[in-house]
Amino acid sequence: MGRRDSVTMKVSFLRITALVLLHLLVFSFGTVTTFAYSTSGYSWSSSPIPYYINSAFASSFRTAMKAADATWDAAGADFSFSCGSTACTTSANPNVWSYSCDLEKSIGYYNRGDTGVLAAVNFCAVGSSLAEADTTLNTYYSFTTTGAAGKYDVQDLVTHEFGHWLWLLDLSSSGSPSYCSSSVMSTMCRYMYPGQTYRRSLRTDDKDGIKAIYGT
Amino acid sequence: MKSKNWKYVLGLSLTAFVAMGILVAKTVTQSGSHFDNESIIVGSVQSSYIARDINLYTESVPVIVIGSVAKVGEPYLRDDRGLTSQQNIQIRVEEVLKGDLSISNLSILIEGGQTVLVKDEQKGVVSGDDSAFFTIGENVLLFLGTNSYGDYVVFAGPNGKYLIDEQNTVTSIGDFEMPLKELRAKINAALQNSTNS
Repeated sequence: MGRRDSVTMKVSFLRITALVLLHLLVFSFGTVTTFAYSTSGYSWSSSPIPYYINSAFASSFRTAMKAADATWDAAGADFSFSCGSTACTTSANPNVWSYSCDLEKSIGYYNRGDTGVLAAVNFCAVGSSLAEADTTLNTYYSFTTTGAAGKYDVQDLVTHEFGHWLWLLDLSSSGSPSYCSSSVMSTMCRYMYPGQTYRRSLRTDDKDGIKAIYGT
Repeated sequence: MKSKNWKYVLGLSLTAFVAMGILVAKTVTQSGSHFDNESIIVGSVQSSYIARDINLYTESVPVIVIGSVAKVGEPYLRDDRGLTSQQNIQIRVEEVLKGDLSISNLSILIEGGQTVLVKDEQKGVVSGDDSAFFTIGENVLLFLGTNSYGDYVVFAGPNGKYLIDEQNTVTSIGDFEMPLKELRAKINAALQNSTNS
């Protein structure tokens, strides 16, 4: 083998090595920016969607719930919620317990007992078009608006529940990187720790989810 | 010329790889619909659960058992329970870690499954899809709470159900995996702490 061949081989080897390293760099960048959301094909056919909050909730709770609405409104998707009345309140609890869909979307309360369930969302839909969504907070547990230790933060919880109203589903996997850990959470992670406030803010994957359903 | 070709190959290759990277990175989970689109009314439940914390769960619940699933009932609606599909599950208890030690069989309730609802000449499907679901024969460790009607329920939905395999490894939703021995030790430690405090 001549000196020229040897140099050519070295250059080729270096080029191949550089190519492999570049690919690894691109690939690792791609995996580091992993996002996730989960939908199931249902959506609102119009926007904004008016909603009501049970007037029995404390004023600070209602303010926190409206802040949760505003968070989704600012997500950059072609969708928004709006208060159904000036005060945004209703004296009625969600009607999901009476087997009917009255089309009124509301946030209320219900004592589900010591079930580990902090809140639940019920839906009515016609075909693939949502007609009603209601959220009930489980009054068995203690809630707060300040993220106080030992209690569950209303804004964190309701931001998550509004995500369900949009028909984004729960995330539960830890993923890589983790998007459902005790220190980093997408808003659509189903878990909630006492004092937790992470889910008040949307992460990129939550925004990607609402944009995927409703466009930008 | 050779250098130009090499650049083309490099460029194309990088572009293809970037596209692949983005495709792989975007792990978008498009789960299938659980509903019959021909139905007029659809009801469903999505819940927020207390996050998994073995200490907190152990202290909170009245009953922790190890056993096997003996029976899985058909989903049904109850007039007094609202628009929620329910299923009764029978557990053959092999060991009680917390609660009444004499329990040998337990009936628990889950909110889940699909039920056809006919009302005012409209047909619908009531569905719950984020509960702890069961299959006959499964070996499980369960944290059980009670609902406002006094029924035993799996605490925090799927977070309170732990599947035990033949190697005595315990798995649960959210990539949870742990040897049964270790989980028992954590539960025992939490029980000890709550007794001492």
